[in-house]
Amino acid sequence: MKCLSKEELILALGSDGTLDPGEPHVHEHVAHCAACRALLEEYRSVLALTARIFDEEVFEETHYWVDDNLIAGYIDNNLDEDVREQVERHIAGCPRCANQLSELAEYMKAVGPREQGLTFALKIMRNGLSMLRHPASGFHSGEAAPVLLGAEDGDTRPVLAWSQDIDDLRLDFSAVHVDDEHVSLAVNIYKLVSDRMPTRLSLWENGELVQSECLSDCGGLVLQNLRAASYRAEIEVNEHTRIPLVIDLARDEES
Amino acid sequence: MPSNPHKEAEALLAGCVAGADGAWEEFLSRYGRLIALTVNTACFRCDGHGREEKDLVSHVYQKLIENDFGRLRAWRGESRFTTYLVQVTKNLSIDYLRRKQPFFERNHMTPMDDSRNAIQVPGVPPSDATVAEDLDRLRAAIDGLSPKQRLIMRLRMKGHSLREIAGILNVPRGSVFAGNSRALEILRKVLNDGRKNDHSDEKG
Ligand SMILES: [Zn+2]
Ligand SMILES: [Zn+2]
Repeated sequence: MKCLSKEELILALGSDGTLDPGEPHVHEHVAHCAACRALLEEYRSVLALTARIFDEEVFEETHYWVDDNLIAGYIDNNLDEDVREQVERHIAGCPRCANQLSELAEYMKAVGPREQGLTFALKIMRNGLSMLRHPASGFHSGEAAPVLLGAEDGDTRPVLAWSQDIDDLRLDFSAVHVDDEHVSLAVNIYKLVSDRMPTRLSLWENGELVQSECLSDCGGLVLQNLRAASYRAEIEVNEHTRIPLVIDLARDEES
Repeated sequence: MPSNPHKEAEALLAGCVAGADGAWEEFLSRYGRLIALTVNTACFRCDGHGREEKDLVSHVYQKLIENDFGRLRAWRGESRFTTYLVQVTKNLSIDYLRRKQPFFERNHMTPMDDSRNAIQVPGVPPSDATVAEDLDRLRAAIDGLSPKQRLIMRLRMKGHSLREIAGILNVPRGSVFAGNSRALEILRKVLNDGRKNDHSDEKG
């Protein structure tokens, strides 16, 4: 049995000390080879101790630290080479600036890639979807602020989701597909208290019934290809109880 | 007409400072969404719900406007304006949330904490003294790494993948892989050699 190279072992090793599940041969080998297992444990203690060292570092409140321009310039790779090197040397030794760099990278990842794919949805949000109005409960627009969820690495599909409570129901919405003209919304409806179980969701546009679908056993349903329009919806709980809802999708340039 | 985003942003800012007609409205329509997304990200990382969001957005605008748009005027053009805006908005949001929520820092700054604690080194638990010595040795060794290697280790410990780090440092992935391996191996050696020496000291 040929042993793993150190590089192989290290590459499969996450910063939290776990082995990448995507590398089954590493798992397999380590399970059977005491030498590699011992090596792995050594790397793990290095990681654990290093994490502790970085954690215990104290931020100095007053020190020369790289300002917002330089952090942003570094992320954009827009600094002159000598400045970049200076910044890098500083950041490598400064927990505070390293934290700023790490955060900004994460935020850019969170806000950046979505700018393209979500244009339509977000425009919708600004004016309209911001409001899934429930006339019966005096629902106010701000309360259903859509929540962006992190998309998986490399997953360019926009993920946009929010929740709203109506009576004793909880509605979870998420945009599952967005293109220039349409948005498809996945809806999940759960009951919070009572044993009433919603059965059907119907959708009208300009007074015309355009969709009426049974909810799945777990209360799920996808509203396909909604346009930038105002829809009236109704959740049928039973013969006697219907909950009205307005789904208002408006493009803001059309205002 | 060829457009220079830098110049455009500069002109728009100048318009806002001078109180030009429609300048602020134009600023809002251009950057409002980015500001909202950044605030949203901060809120989401804070409590997983974005509950503070409405108040926070107005707080951020207030801070951006104050002092004749001082924070925005401080942009020196070393980055895209949008990147700078995210950085400023992020810090305003974090400061605000931190004041509101004492536990914010824990959640926000060290997302890796829980998993880190999960690292269990099997065998006899080392004594405090041994750990302290290990830490001293490692600290010195980390200081001795090249800036790039040290930065890789830092970002790694913040939870970034090697691929992400390559993006942040703007270097080829292979060089991050190599730097990471080399740094870990250097640190491992330092730790091992130190422990061995301790051992022979005790015997001798
Ligand atoms: Zn082996
Ligand atoms: Zn610093």
